[in-house]
Amino acid sequence: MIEVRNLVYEYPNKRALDGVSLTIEAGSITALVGPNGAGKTTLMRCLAALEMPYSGEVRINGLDTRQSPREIHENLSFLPDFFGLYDSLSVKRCLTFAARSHGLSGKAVDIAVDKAAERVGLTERMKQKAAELSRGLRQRLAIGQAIVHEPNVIMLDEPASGLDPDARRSLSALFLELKASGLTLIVSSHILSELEDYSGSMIIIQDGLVVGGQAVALTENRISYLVELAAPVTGFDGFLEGLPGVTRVTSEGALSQIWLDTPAQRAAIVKAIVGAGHQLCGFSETKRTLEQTYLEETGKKR
Amino acid sequence: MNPELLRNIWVELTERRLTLMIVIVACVLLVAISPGQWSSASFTAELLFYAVVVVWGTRCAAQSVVEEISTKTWDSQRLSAIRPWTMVWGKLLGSTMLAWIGGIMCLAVIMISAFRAGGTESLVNQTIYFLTIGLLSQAVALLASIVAVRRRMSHSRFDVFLYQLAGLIAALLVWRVWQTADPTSLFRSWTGGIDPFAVREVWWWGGSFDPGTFYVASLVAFVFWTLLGNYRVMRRELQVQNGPVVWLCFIVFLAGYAGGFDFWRDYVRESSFMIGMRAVQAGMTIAVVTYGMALVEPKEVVAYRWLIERFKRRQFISLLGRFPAWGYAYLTVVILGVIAILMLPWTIAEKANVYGGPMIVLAALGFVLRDCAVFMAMGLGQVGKRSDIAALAILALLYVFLPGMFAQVPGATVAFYPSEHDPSWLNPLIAWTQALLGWFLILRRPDLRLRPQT
Repeated sequence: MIEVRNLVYEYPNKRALDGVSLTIEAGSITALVGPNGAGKTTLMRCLAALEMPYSGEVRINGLDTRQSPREIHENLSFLPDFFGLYDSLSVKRCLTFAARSHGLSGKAVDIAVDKAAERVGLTERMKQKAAELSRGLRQRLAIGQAIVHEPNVIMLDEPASGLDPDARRSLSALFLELKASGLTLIVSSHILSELEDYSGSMIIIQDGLVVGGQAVALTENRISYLVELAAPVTGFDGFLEGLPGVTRVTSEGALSQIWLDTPAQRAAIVKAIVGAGHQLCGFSETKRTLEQTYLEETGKKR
Repeated sequence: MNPELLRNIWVELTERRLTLMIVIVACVLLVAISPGQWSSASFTAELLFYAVVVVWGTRCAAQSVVEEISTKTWDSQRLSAIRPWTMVWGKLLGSTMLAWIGGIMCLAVIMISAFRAGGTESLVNQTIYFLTIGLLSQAVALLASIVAVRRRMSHSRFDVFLYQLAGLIAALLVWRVWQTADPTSLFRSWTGGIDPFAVREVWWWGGSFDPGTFYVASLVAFVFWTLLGNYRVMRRELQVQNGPVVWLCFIVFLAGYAGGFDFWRDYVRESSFMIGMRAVQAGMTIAVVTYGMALVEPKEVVAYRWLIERFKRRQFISLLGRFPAWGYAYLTVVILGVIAILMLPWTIAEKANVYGGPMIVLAALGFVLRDCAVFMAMGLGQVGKRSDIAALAILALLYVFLPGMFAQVPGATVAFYPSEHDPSWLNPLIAWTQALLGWFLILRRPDLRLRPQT
């Protein structure tokens, strides 16, 4: 679990983070979004114990970044936007160094290297030098280095930049696989649609603050249903709210939007509407995009 | 095995480079040994050792961290689990490994020659000297580069040369001091046996020591402190907080080391005067350290703002934990200055070769504080060499150009540096006025004001 309390980070002429507080649950994928210069990278660097805050507290799995930075580094990975690789080393040696530098030794190194190479699809290229890899493969190698020691927390700043659609898809699959194995992921990106595939919550940073003061859950209330009647009906809102399984209703004219406990209740809802004699013209699923959520949340602030 | 050392072996010790180094050094040494004259062979081996281990080795050491920054791999190293001490050794020995392989080949010839010329004692002294001068110069170059990294400076080839230069200067100083104790030194072979600084014995804390032994012991001590310095700076770079204890221990060691030299034993007999002179010697040495640290320490506005906030909140323990190194050094200079003021005689007319009376010491304390204010005023919030150059230019102005311009004005020097004047209180008064005014202006800088939290 990651806990941040009143985090302040200052540059000489600007306060980059101004009292940020947030909690990120273990085993989750959190999207970190916000405009350029909002403080995303600074926040990630503070979480990674690469920068010491002016004041406030950051705890990673109970460890304070001020008191135990090296212990935190041991179980955490941070892949910055602009990363480097040891170009003269082979893929295998790059991964081996990453594993050994995180405290692995003996046979555990070989096992970890093979597993990481397989996860990022570089098993066939173990002897190839890092300098000879394409941009996409370099990105994969960097991610391989970041996960080789199986950290508890992994933070990635713009991990998909420069990747082709296929590589992005496999990256999303990898993130979900890592999450399933219990890792906590924080991913910062400008491409919101890409984050949508795997993020369970979103932290919006604007002017050094978390918009809304906390992470926004993306899985809850994300899927809703549009109910369209032939003409507006007075009291239809109340009727919908009274149906079992309906958790929330919003209406405008003949169009209503409802949220259900489970998608399995759809058929019963349609049956109830028609059974009550309402002229149902349409019933469709709608997914709130991450971009909509982002705009809604930042709009609330404005 | 140290992972950083292993990585360096992969990168540095390629088959081609290793073969090239061994073949070249072996060829040169074989040519030197072949006439059977071990003294000339040793001369060649010494020169080759300096070229390979000191000149090239310092370059490799200076580049080791800087290269990581330019290839953007430094953050991943900072995020590893490698401990600071392991990182220092991995970088220091790893980056210079090829140089040391060549150096060890040269050292073998030097050792044989030393044993043939002077037996076991010479062998031990020469071996320790060459190993420590190599290690010291490389460690100083690495230290200079990590300090520059901490200051977020740029790292051009010229910058790397500057870090290397720090190592080379350290080696040159050690070499020159070593020559003063060696009657068969390279230096004396160039000057026809004359060395104005030649020493037959070293007087230190009232005892007489053989210069060779004293120098070897001193070298080992300074190598230890330099490595410890590397470790401490590396700790900070890896985000581990450093307390002040080790730095204070170094200052105390240096004060004790410098204050121990009995330069005045032929002139001074009174014990209080002797204590005063020792305090002056130690104080001057620590003042040099103060200047050095005020110049090279990062002068981040935010860090100083944080210190001011701790002071205002009376959180003195936190404040002392992150108090700048130059500040501790200056406080030590003040303590030594007070000892000197209390112990030195007020009248110095009949004393020859004395640094000066208590008023000059008091003035010196003020001028050092003023000069720290100059470093701070120029360096706060600035990154790069320009602020250093500006501060040094102002000091040159204060100590050289302005006194030269006002040379015709009687007593004008009291405004610029410690000097005797009648009345004697004028010099310290001017020094402390400048120092306090300088610091008053710095503390009023808008960027040092605390920001309210929203």
